[in-house]
Order: sequence, then structure tokens, then C-alpha cells
Amino acid sequence: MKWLGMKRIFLWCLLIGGLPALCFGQQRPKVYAFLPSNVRPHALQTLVGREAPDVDITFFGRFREFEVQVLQNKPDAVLTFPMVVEYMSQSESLGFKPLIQGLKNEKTDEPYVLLAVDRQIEVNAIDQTAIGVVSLMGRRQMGHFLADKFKVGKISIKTVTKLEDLLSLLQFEDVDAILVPESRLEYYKQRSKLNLVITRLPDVSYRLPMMFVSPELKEESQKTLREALEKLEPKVSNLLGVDQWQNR
Amino acid sequence: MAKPLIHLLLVHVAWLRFALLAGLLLGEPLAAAAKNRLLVVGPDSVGYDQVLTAINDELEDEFDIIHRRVDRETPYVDFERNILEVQPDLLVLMDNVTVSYYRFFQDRHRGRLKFPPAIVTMALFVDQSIQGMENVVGVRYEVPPIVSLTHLRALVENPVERVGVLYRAEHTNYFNDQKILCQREGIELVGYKVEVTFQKGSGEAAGKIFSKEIRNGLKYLLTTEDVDVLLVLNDNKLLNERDVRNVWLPRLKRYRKPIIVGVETLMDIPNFGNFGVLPDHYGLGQTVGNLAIEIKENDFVITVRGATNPHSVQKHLDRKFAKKYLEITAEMLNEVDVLR
Repeated sequence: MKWLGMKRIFLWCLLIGGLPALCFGQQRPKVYAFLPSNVRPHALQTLVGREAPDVDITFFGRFREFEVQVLQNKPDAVLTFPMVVEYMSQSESLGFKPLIQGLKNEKTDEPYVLLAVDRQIEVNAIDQTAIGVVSLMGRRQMGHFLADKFKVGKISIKTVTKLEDLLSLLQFEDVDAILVPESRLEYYKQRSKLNLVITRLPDVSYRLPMMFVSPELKEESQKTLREALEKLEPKVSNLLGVDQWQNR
Repeated sequence: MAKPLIHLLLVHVAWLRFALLAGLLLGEPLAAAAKNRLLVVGPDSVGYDQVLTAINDELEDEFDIIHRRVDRETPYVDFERNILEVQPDLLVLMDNVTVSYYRFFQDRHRGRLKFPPAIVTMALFVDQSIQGMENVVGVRYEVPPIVSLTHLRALVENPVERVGVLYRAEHTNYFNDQKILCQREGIELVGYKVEVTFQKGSGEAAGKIFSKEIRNGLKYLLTTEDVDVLLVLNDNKLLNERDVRNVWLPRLKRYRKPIIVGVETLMDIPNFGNFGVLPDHYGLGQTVGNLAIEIKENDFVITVRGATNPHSVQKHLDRKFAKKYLEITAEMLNEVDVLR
């Protein structure tokens, strides 16, 4: 009797475990994504997961969390800003290679601007300006990255994790300005009635998000990933900060 | 045989104590370290671990971070030993227990030791708790109304222009400061000051007068002023169990507008908080990180005064209430952390 019961349980396990494999034919490629957005990571995961059921995607809200998981679990692909992968590759041999590039207005880079209350920022004195930024790579690296962009030796930054938190920095006058992508200007203007003044930065831009894949990933899985991104609804792609995807 | 051993041990401990104190007096660490030392003292429980994770994430490149558990059960001597042993360049104190211990530490050693700069977080009413302390700055735990209200306004189409706030006379300055901040965002805080002067009567009688004042205040804000939103401050006295049950709930039962609360427990009470804006503990740690860097870059001198506001929050929304009474799109729901 006991043996029969065990056998039944075993058969059930086989059936439950085997069903997804039968449905999908193969394992879905595992993707880790880190793209700070106004939408919560769990919501982004649901939205993208719904449109790309052939991909097993997990969104992270914080760089360190993403970094640790990528290094520990070695996903098949990552979806993030190129500078994040470049930075992570400095200390670890990740070996990721670019698969697909996000575009906005047919460009691979997006200009960034400074937003301040009631005034323009003197870009020549940027090293004397406290800037609020969303942390993409940890504080120290973010500081180096921006100092490089602004072509100064050192820059004073305050970091936050979520886009919306930048506004609080301005509301409490904890920084002189916040650094935001041009495409998000409306987002901040809609949220706040402060007199937000834009300072354009002709030389400051970020490369748009890209998907990188492990060199061992089979061509078939790479194709699945490409198609999944290309088929995303424009609304969902927009939440990821791009309006089009281009093969690399 | 045992006696000389104990004697040796005592001599050794005395020497160690002397050496540690001498180190602090000279303001020099005993051993040269590559990085500055940051000592974090506080409990280990949920919430605190998130703050600690953020501090580690933000500051591990800049400091040697040492965490020592100190909670309600920890004797003061252990707290003191931790500071003397570690000799931190910067101290982070998490919660009100560690703040009161550090106040005692300062009183005990004032004039003899050079106190390292300290950042206080996860403590209630941090402005009052750090008053009179030397070289201490704080990160407030309570989410300021301007932050809660801007978040609500971004989520819903309902008006968020006139907001009712019940506050006690002791918090008048706080209310006035918040009123000015909110004005900048085009939001008017309409206040009702709960002011009771107890001249006569027993505690029970005084309690009744206090309850009546809360009732009058709610009636004034919700009916006379007909505010768009009610914002409930985290004030244990206004929110005592009896008044929540007998005064707040009967008045709020038929109120169909947003009620913002700052603690999760008030979201759990049916017909009370329908929009919770709670501190994001990881974000608090990140704000501590920002302050720590500022202090380090200023050669460990604190230039900011008093307390800093938290920047990051967790948004909780009552799904049923939102569906019935709020104009909110499905897309905006994606910006909410917890739908209950």
C-alpha cells in the first residue's frame, strides 16, 4: 500500500515536472534585467513576462542586488545599460556579448539634462554643484562615470534608487540639481509644481539599454530573445527606456 | 595557581582599557587602517537589516564597516565597550535606544574624549532625540507630508489641493514647516490644532476632553472645511487605541476620500488608512550613505544641522477603496509597491 502511494506521488511529480518541458520543448532562456524605472520591478516583470512568455525574465530594482545575482547565478542574458556590464566586467570575467541594442528616435544614446528649481545650472562650475542621480553602478563608480562625462576631476553626487526619489532631493533642497534623461522630463514636470528649469548638457548622454548574452547560449535561444524584445508592445518598450530594438 | 592567572588577566584588561581610552584621547587609532572605520550599532530585526544592507552597498568602498548588535536587552556597558574598542571615525546609531545610550556616553565622557560624528536613523522624532548632543545629525523616520502628497497626486486624478491635518499643540512648529513646504508644491495644508489644557479633573475626565477635541477636529476638517484628503500624522497620543476605536473610526467610516497614513498597522484597520506612504528602509540607508560621504569629504566635520528628510518611500494602496472611490488608471497601479 505504502509503495503504491509512493509510486502515485512519483508519477504526479513526473507529470507536473514534465508538462512545462513538453509545452516549451526546451528551457526558457533566463534573463536578469536592471533598468530603473517609475514602474516597480515586479510590475515590469509581469508586463514583460506576459508579452514574452518564452523568456524567463527577472527585474531587479537595485544595482547591488542585480550584481550579486548575476555573479552567483550566471543567467543566459542580461538586459541593462551597457556601462553597467562594462563596469561589472572590469572585476569579473563575465564574457557577455551584445545581442540587441535599444534605440530611441533611431539613436543609440540618449541626452541627459539637469533639472533645478528656479534657476539654470552653471555648467562651468559643475564641480561645485551637488547633483542627484539614480545609482546605476554603486556610488564610487557612478561618481567616476559622471566626472568623466562632465570632464571634471571630481563631482559631488547624491544617489537614489528610484526615479521618483530624485524629486524629493529637489523638494528638500538637498541637491542643486538632478540629472535625468531627456525623455523623462515630462514625468518630473507632471509630478511637481516646482518651477523646474532645464539645463541642457550637449556632451552628456548615456548609451541606451542593451541585451547581452552569454557566449555559450545556443543560437536558437538567442533568436528567442531577439524576437521577444522585438515583439514587445511599444508601450512596454517605452517603460524600458527605448522605442525600438536593433540587432547587433 | 589560579590567583596569579586572574591577576594577570585583570592587568591585561586594565591595560587594554587604558590603551583604548588613550587612543580616543589622542584622536588616533591604535593601528593604522587603510580605510576609515564606520561603526553601526542597532538591532538586527526586520527593517534594520535593509538599512544595514544599503549602508554596506553604499559605503563598502569607502569605509571598513563594523556592525555591532545593540538593542533593548543590551546593557549600556556593552554599548560603551563597542565604541571604545572600534574607535570609529563615524558612528551610525539605529533607533532610540542607541541614541539614549550615546547621549549617556557623551555626558559621561564629555571633556575627556573627542566624539566622532554620528548619524542617527530609524529613530522616532529624531529632531527632539538628538537635541543637545554633540556632533550628531539625523535622518528622520517619518515621511514628510510633501512627499506623501506628491506621490498621491501623481497617482490619482482626484483633487489633492486642500489637505486636512490634525495635530497636537506640541507639533505646531512641525505643522507650520510642512505647510510652507507643501505650499511650494501648490498644496494647502488645513490644520486643526488639538489643544487641551488640563486644569481640573481626573485622568479619565481629561481623556474625555481630549477625545472630544479629536472629534471636533475631524468634524471641522471633513465637514466644515471639506478637505480633499485627510493626512494622519504618526502621533501615538492622537492615535491611542481608545480614540481610534471610539472617535476616529466612527467619523471615518463614511469618508470616501483618500486617508494617508504613515504606518502599516493603520492600513490594516478597515475604513482607516487607504493610502500608506511608509519609509523605505533601504532608501533610509542610502540617505545615511549620502550623509556619510558628505561628512567624510568634509574631514569628518558635520556641517549640516539637525535632521535630514528621508527621500524614498514604499506606497501601499487599498485596492478595493481605489477601485470604488479613486480615479486611478491601471498603468498608475504599476507604480504602487503593495496593493492590499
